[in-house]
Amino acid sequence: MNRILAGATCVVLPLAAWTALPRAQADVDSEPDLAALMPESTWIYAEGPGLAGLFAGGLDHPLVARLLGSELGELFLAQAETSPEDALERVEERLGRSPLKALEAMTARGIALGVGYKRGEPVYAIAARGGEPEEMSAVLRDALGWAAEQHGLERSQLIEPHGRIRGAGVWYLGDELTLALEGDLFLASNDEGRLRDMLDLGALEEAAGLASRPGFAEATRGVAGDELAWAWFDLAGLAQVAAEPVKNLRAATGNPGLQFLLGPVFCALGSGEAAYVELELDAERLALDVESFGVAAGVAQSVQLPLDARPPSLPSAKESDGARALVYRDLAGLFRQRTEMFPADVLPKFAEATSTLALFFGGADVTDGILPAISPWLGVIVRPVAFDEGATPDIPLPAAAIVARLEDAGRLGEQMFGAFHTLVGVINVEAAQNMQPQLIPKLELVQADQVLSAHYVEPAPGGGVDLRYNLVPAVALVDDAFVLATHRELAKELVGQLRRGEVEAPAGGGEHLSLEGAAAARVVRDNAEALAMNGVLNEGKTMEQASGEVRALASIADMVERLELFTQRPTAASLRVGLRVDFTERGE
Amino acid sequence: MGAEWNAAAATHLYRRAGFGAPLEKIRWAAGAGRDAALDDLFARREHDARLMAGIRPILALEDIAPVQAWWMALILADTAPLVERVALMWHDHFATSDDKVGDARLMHAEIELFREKGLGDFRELLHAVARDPAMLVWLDGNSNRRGQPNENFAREVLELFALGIGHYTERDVREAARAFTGWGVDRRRFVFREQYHDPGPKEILGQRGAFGGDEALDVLLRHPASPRHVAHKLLEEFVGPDPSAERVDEWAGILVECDWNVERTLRRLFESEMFYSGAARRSRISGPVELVAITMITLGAKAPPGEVAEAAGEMGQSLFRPPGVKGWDGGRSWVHAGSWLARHNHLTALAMAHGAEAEGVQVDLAAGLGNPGAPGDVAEAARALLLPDLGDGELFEALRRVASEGVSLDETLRRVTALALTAPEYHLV
Repeated sequence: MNRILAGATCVVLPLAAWTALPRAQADVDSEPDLAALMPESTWIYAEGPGLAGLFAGGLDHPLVARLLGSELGELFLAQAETSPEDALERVEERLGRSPLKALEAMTARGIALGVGYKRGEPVYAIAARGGEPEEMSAVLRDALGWAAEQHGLERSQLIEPHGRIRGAGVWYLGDELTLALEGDLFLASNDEGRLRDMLDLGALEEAAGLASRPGFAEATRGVAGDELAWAWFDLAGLAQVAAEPVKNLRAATGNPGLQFLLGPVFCALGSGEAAYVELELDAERLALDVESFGVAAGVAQSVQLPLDARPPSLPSAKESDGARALVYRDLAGLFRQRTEMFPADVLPKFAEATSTLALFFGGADVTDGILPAISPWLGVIVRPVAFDEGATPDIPLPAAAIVARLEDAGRLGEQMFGAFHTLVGVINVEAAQNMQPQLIPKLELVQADQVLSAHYVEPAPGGGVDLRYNLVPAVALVDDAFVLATHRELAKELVGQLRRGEVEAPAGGGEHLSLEGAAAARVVRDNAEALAMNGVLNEGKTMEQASGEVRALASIADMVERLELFTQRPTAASLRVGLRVDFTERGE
Repeated sequence: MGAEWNAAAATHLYRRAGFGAPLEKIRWAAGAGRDAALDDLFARREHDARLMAGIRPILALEDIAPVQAWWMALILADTAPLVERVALMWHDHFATSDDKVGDARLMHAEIELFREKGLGDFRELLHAVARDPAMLVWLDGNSNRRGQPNENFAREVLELFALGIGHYTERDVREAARAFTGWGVDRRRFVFREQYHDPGPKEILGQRGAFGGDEALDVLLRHPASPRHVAHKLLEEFVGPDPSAERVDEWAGILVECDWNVERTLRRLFESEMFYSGAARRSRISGPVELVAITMITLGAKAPPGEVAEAAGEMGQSLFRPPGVKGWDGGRSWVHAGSWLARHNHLTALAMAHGAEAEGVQVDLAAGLGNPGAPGDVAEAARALLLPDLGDGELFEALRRVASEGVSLDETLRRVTALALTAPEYHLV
């Protein structure tokens, strides 16, 4: 029974977070921050100061209304057993009051969640400041009374406090949950000891608890109070007490594959002492920032991204661009510092890579002769291209290109062209052994610049066009800008842009990626059948389910005007990753 | 009608002619009669159009694994059971493997051929298979040239496809190979390269002429051993192993009487007393594909088709990848220590998935077994659906003992079903 009651209360509490109202004009100076109520041994702490604006409007809030009115929302509602309006009305009938108003009363001046660990098990704590104490008491009584009725108990068994601690009424809902109400302060925890600690901390006049920890104060000094939500993570502490994911996150810097794929900042993000995450969301925009503090000197050194990063310019953006990125991959540095950066068991892979790359560069030592001459800043451009008639793949993908600046471009450019020739030869040998189509090399001039490419022989008419026909690989060199593209047409476009000086320097000083929602939606829709079949064959979904999910995915992409992701290194010991999502205007 | 028509007979029909049927269908068939059940089996020929169209992007991936999953999805959909059953039979008879062909489009096209022509005139099917690009790649058609004939295809068409050992000589093989010279593949299509064809006179099975490939096939099909060879295949597949010479002769005659039409011959077969006889029931070891498919369809279980195809592969039957020109050996070779373990593990996991919310297999054994009201009823329900010919012997006693262990209904369903599925008797089809 108690387990059920605890569950019912657990439902109410999170709901409270969704209806918090703006901080009232109360005497806030005399009461401790919610963080001061959490014990110092809190490893994760989150507040939702801006939830008020989002949830005061309930279903009429612009963002909520927009989500529910979108194709995604319609799909969700079509699968739901009841509408949100009916669900709220049903709760109101049972609770005897509006659930949104009730939650507003309980959390009007803020709500926070803290997570600690005891003997390896997580301990959760919720602290909320409401409006009028009398109303909070009435809401709690109604909620507990409802819970009692649901489980065949007398209301009196639950609505009156089961005891008192420091003057606060306390309810014990089994071993799983303890609640406390003292004036306008509501506390809940799955550990009674933690609840006592919180009441003790609440009685102190000076700043105490988590709020007094220096690391916490430093990481959260940027809190403005108007965020939707923010959170703080004690990464070093979590790595000691908690789970594998945190340990894996901290180990990412020692993984060469992840270093290459995600880049230095992402890989080192989990290596700090603490992290601060901030989320802002409204009907037009989502902003998510993650900052890692106290990155150890050794790790910071391996991050490589210069503090005063000045990325080079790229071919200018075109309206058709699906995605653009400027990433920092100091491959020469990775090879040079491999013994310091990576564990011994992965070092043989570097030797293997060096040997393989040497094959393509006529035996040259790539670690000394090739990689140091390639700028660590790599531009990535994704743009749809027109395929030749009869050669549009059944799974059409946009083309992608990398643009890199070369030192001693004349010499290195020739080596790159040679490596491309070798690559085509290797692919063709493999294809010949398996009776697969061959790549036919082609050399073209775009104005005075050479574009070396290779294409597969024309597919047999009427027989379908394989995925490989997305690949018409090409390389080109324009002064010191080397272009490697998955499709010849994109390479030629970029060569033209570079030669005409149609270039632009990216904003900001770090890595940057932007993705156009419309382009992503187009790729999803172009390949809807393939994606749906994957759901049917590999996930066991029905065709209706799988098709619905693909439509939902396209709908999500439709809602995004542009997604931007960037990394920065604000100081020698801190790293930052930001995500910005601009939503499309309503009705687009 | 000879043999009694009841639920056990209906179960036998759906397992042999299709890939099993759920309880509801068996009950309907038992009540509606044999002819109605046969009408149902022969009428269901169309798959979900979206599933069929979905092969287009799958083929573009140039990988056989999703094509295997796709075929398994068609089998599990149970919308054209006889078509798929016959396609699987011809895939074994005219075996080609992606391990050598290395082209998912060609492998798929060949199965489409079996699906389209598998129930039609065998002679047309044989002619089409001879021009099938996957078969030509598999048996080196491109290297079969005048002056240097490659005998691979000719040998297999005589030995495996049309006649059988003992009805031809090595000279017939060489002469037939000359007839097929110039038959090859270019860009996934059949081509006849006249410059490589040997137009000279040949002597095949005692008949003389300047035969080309098609004429050579007609010579083989006119030989009395040919209908016997096909009848033997049909009897082994649908009735039981090692049919007697008299029975083969009888059904060869029926095949010819039906103008070589496989569908009409099978209808006659499924109407025969022999098909429902005690000797025919549970007379051969089920192949992995039919085992996993029959179990899924019978119990109404759902699982990603890719995983089901993979499970069949682990048991020794990977679709589109038969081990050699003879197809799968079948029979006792289906069961050995490794494959039995794979069968046991797969079927046990399927039974244990009842009531679990995990991803992957979803099965409601209560619904599948007809909602037995109490644990004590589960043994009888499992026997009725999974082992309808089982008497009150040792196995049924074991099922009853498990059903009376005093655990919950759900746990009883799991345990009894697992025991039934892993009993050797269940692996006979």
